[in-house]
Amino acid sequence: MKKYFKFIVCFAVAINMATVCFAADTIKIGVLQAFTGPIESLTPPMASAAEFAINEASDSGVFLGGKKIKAVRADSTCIDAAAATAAAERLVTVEKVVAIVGPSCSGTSAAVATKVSAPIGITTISSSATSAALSEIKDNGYFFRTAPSDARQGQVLAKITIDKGIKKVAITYTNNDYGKGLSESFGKAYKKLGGKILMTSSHEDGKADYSAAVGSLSASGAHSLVVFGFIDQGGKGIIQASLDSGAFDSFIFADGMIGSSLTKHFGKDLNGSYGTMPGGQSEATEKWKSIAKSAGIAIDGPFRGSSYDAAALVILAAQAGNSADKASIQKHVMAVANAPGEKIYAGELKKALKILAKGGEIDYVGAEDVEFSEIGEVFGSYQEMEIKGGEFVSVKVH
Amino acid sequence: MSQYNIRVVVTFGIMFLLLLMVGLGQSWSLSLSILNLCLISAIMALGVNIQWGYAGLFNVGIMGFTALGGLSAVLISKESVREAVKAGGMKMLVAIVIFSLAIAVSIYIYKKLKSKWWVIATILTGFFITRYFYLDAAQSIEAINPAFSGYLGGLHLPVLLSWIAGGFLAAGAAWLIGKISLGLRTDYLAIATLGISEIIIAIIKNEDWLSRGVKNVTAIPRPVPYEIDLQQAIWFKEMVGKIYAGKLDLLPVSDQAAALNAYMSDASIVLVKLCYSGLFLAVLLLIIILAGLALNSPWGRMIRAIRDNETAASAMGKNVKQRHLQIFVIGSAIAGVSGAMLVTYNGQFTPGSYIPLRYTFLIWVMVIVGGSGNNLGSVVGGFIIWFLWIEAEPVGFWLADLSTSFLDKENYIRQHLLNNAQYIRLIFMGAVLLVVMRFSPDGILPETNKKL
Repeated sequence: MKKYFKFIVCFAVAINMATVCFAADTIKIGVLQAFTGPIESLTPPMASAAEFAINEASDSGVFLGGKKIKAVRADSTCIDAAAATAAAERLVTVEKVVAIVGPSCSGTSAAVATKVSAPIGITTISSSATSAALSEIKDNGYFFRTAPSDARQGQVLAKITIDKGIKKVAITYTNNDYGKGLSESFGKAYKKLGGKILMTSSHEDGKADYSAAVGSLSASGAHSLVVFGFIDQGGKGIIQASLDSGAFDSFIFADGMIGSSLTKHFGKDLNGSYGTMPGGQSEATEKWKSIAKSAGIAIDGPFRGSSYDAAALVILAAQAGNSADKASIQKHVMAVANAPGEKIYAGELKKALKILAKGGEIDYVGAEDVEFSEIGEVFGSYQEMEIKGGEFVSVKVH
Repeated sequence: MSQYNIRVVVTFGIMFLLLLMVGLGQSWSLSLSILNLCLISAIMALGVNIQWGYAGLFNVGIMGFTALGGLSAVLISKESVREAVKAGGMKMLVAIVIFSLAIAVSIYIYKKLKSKWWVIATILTGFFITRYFYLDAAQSIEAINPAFSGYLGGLHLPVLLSWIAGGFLAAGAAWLIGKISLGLRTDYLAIATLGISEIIIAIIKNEDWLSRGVKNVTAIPRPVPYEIDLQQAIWFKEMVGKIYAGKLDLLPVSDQAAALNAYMSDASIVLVKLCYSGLFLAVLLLIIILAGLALNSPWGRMIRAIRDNETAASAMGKNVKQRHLQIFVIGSAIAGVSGAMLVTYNGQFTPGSYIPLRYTFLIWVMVIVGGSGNNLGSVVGGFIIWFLWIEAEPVGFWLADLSTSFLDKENYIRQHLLNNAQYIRLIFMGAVLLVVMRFSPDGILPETNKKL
């Protein structure tokens, strides 16, 4: 009997110690990302980017008259809605965070938005949930996202493809809401513009060999393959199998496939392939690139800039309302994100905080050209990236 | 009190204490969240326990049955998509009828005519006719507003019905699977069920007209009120005002409204969760009582006799295959009920999230840790594992922080440990399983009436 109690007491102490609060004038922001699970390789740099924005504002000394901000990480798992909502609840009720940056995936985002954000009333800004269905959830105005809906990217990519004179393609997508959503929006837009889709097929991530999938795709007679997948996962396998068999002349990518690890691996074999990734005016992107470089954040993957933006928006909204109150943050997110006001780029948080402290207005542009629609979603501008000489080069902004 | 009874009282006492501590030390809303999932996990574990603990059936396809339960929540509670039903509903119905007819006819032919060739011919013709209608129907249903619907929708009935329907759907699938694979022994049955559960998931993921596939179904109606509605209800405001009257009076009048709002937002969350807890607890109690009665009946003794020595039981004239099928269907039905409950609680159906680690093996760990063959053991196992699954994260942070507190803040090891603290969850699961297996090999609450 006694030994049980000892164990329990130890455990209880452990739990309670883990929740010891910080000094009262430290404000906390939750970073709820999928640190374990299927996209665990994508999330650490995203969290670093969000924390970088938080530290930048905290160190500036002008946030709410010199208060410090601290990031609190929690795991949204990407797949387990129950664990994600429990983590979000812990952030809000135990850690007393004033806003949440996350969750990472669309499924967990919907759960957290409807079960935590809306009832408790806490601003939740996801930087990577792209499912079109999230536009219609019951979030009571508390859920925002700095990653554009898949619906838009598909349209942009379809237009670029038609403009390049490619009239026939085959599509392969990773079998989840991201891949499927993109493939549907791309397909619809592409057909409308006069293109022809010879075959659409899905692939599952994490397989050892994709040559069978590539075989049937190339049998459709297409010379260009649209790949809506992930760079670390099935997407890479598809490219490998296609290059091995020489099945396709060129590839068309969405944001999940754009990164230096792709070009490092395949190099000049991919010359002439192109794709889109979220990214704003070149000025914003250039500034974000230099800032990220100095912070040691690799920017060759998706959603890092949008994570920085999400954290920055929370901080600026708090400053605009001159209060770290949950409700006040939600009220001011739109105002700081949209015009009118002075344009603020990545790395200029101190300047923005000063303007807001004086009662001025800002228009946050950030790393990825943030502009919110009425329901709190970015419209999204995209960079057209082309592989030239074995490297991704930004060609144009759409 | 016997040793065993003390053990039961102590374990349940500890569970209660842990929840109380989370409630007092962290928050009540978190405590109730953990409790709710513990209740659902306990029901899932009971399903496995009935199959493994009672009858020794090694089913590692729990994931498939919970997913079927989840699917039933969608099919029962969502509103039907009118345009989609109009566009392809009729054709889909025809396809389903022809499919069932083809199967029925081929079974009839097989039994009466005993002709292989006619059976093959019937199946092939049935397949092609079905395919003709099905492809057309699926395409026209999926073409309707794919970003937001693109499926048939459901029957728009109260979601609570889906808990029963989920049980029946899973039971039906289990009957089919059992017919095919229960002739297999232990490890072969395990491989078969593992494979079949992956097939079920693959179907749900890819048949968009039925389940929306990987695009997920969100906003599944609730059996309990919405927090936002409660916060606007007048009776609720009065009730919360009365409960916190003492505390509110101490505040200056100007702050009272804001404080009341804060109390109301907390209270609404807690009330909604309590409603869920009540529903889940009722289901758990019902299942546990029925399962306990069954276990201690002559039927239960027969099942255990079959488990312990199939040959002997068979020699005594027991129909081993029939009993196995029965128990397989019952256990899977319970997994289906819990799957429907989970989807109802989450408010969404996300086929992509069904992975064996979470929905098969975690449940197995619950049964093994709790004690296979003991229903209360499954409840304890479900509780402990889910509690750790959630609380491992803060504890992991704390451990990583404490063990490296003597190091410099920028030290690589410290940074690395803190950045990867989430993984302690999986380490914890393994550690708990090992510790329990070492010190109490039969689980925390071992089977009581092992000897017949």
